[in-house]
Amino acid sequence: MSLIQFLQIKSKKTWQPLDCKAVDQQGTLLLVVDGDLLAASIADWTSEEQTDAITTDQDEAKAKLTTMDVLRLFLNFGCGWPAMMKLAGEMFGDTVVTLSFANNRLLNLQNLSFQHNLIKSYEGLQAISGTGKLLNLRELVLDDNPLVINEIKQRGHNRGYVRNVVKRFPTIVLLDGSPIQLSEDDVESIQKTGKIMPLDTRPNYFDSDETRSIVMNFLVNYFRCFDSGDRSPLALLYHPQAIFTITNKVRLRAINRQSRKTKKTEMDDGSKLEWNTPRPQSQAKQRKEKYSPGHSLEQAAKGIMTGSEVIGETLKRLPPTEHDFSNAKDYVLDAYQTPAGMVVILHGEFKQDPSLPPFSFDRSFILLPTEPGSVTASTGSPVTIVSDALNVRDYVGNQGFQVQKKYNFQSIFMPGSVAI
Amino acid sequence: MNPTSIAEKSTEQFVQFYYPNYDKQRSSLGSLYRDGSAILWNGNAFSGVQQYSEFLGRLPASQHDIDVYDCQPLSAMANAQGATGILINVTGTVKYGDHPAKKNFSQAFILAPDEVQAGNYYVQSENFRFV
Repeated sequence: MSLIQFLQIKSKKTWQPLDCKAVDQQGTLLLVVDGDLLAASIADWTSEEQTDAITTDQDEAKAKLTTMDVLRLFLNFGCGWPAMMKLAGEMFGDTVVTLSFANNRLLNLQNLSFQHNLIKSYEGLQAISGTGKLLNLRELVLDDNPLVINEIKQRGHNRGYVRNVVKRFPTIVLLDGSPIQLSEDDVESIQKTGKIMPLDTRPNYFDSDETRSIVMNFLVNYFRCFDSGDRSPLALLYHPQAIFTITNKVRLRAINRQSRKTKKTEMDDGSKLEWNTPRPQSQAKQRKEKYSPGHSLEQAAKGIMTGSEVIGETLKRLPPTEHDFSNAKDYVLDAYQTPAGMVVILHGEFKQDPSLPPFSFDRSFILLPTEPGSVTASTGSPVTIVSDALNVRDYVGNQGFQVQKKYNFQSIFMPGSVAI
Repeated sequence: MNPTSIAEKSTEQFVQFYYPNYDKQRSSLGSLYRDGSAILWNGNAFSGVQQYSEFLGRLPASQHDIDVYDCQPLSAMANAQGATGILINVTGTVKYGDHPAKKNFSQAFILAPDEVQAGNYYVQSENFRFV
């Protein structure tokens, strides 16, 4: 049996031997790891004076790194995937350590354990408990720290401790393996801070399976045509008295700015519109709305178009678009029946030009069952559009409507603990 | 006045009532809803105005800033007097509590004309999302 095999059997955890090679005659070793917490642990084994180059980036192999540098490197790899971090007490010993989270790359961190450390006070956690940090933290373990032991010893119960932690980490649902349970008053005072909402964001809403299937079919067909370069078939989907409105709050892009003058003169000869082009005066109202004294809305170019023919013409003049529904996370959809018809509300993004940033948009449709013998009936569409409202705005990404996993959240440090 | 102008006037009145009251005096919003009103908040459906009012009580103090709003008359929803329903779409930003972060929101309303009081509307359905 080899040494590696023997060690693997004897150790309590599964592990793989490191990729390790000597890079010079002085005994410098290059250890290549995946950028996970191995890097940090390895740094700990060596003293800072004789620090070996431990890095996930081969180019930096020559640089001497301290423990903190390695940790910072590791933290910077955390972006994009939910990272687990378990910082062992041995790592820092008695040294006061400052962690810089200035780049805020830990947005996705959901589970964090400082179990069995030497954290004496809440100030020690200040670096990660501020506003805007660790927005997705769901589980925290602080067990076996002087802080916790003292808090609980002093009061004889853990309610003050729980309250203090939740105040600083309002998004967590599991603390030391147990679901958070707070009194009504505590919940109220935490919510006053505005850091958490009384309800989490839920995914796409449909009031029935039938609604879901009708609406999905409608949207797939509608946007396939909308993105196709020839929007004329869309006119057939609109009711003869349908209404289409379009609004925007889009900053003029540099590309538009140059040709704006020429665009104005071209406007009425049926050529292309931009998202922030005002509609022709005969059909539109351009107004500066005063919402409240001293506060005026952005100039919203607004047009109200009635009838399938007019709507069809307008759609054709709008810029080309590409909606990539394969990225489901970039869209959110709600659909439900009302006395006015089936309401379909879609928020998401589209690209006008593959080389330019996308736009964000909001689209509301109201659909009615297609009447037999109507123009829409000839298309085979079971639904007819009676209302269509499009709003285009500068791109803000999809963070706003991401679903938070609060339900059935499992502890990864203490198996068996579940928050509901 | 044609249905579009009526809708625009009523929408302006509605938006100018709804958001300031949402921010300063949330309890006065109750009068806008009826028993059958359908309310969605970030994908959470409420089974009635009572449940929604409880939720509004727990929601931190808010501060809305409206960017754009838009409306369309809904002829499929007209009362005996010929007043139509209204589809309203609002987008803007909102802050909660002491938290400085501004969240983008989009809210769609369907207003139904009051059967008795001409010129009055109630919220038949409403859908709020952070976007």
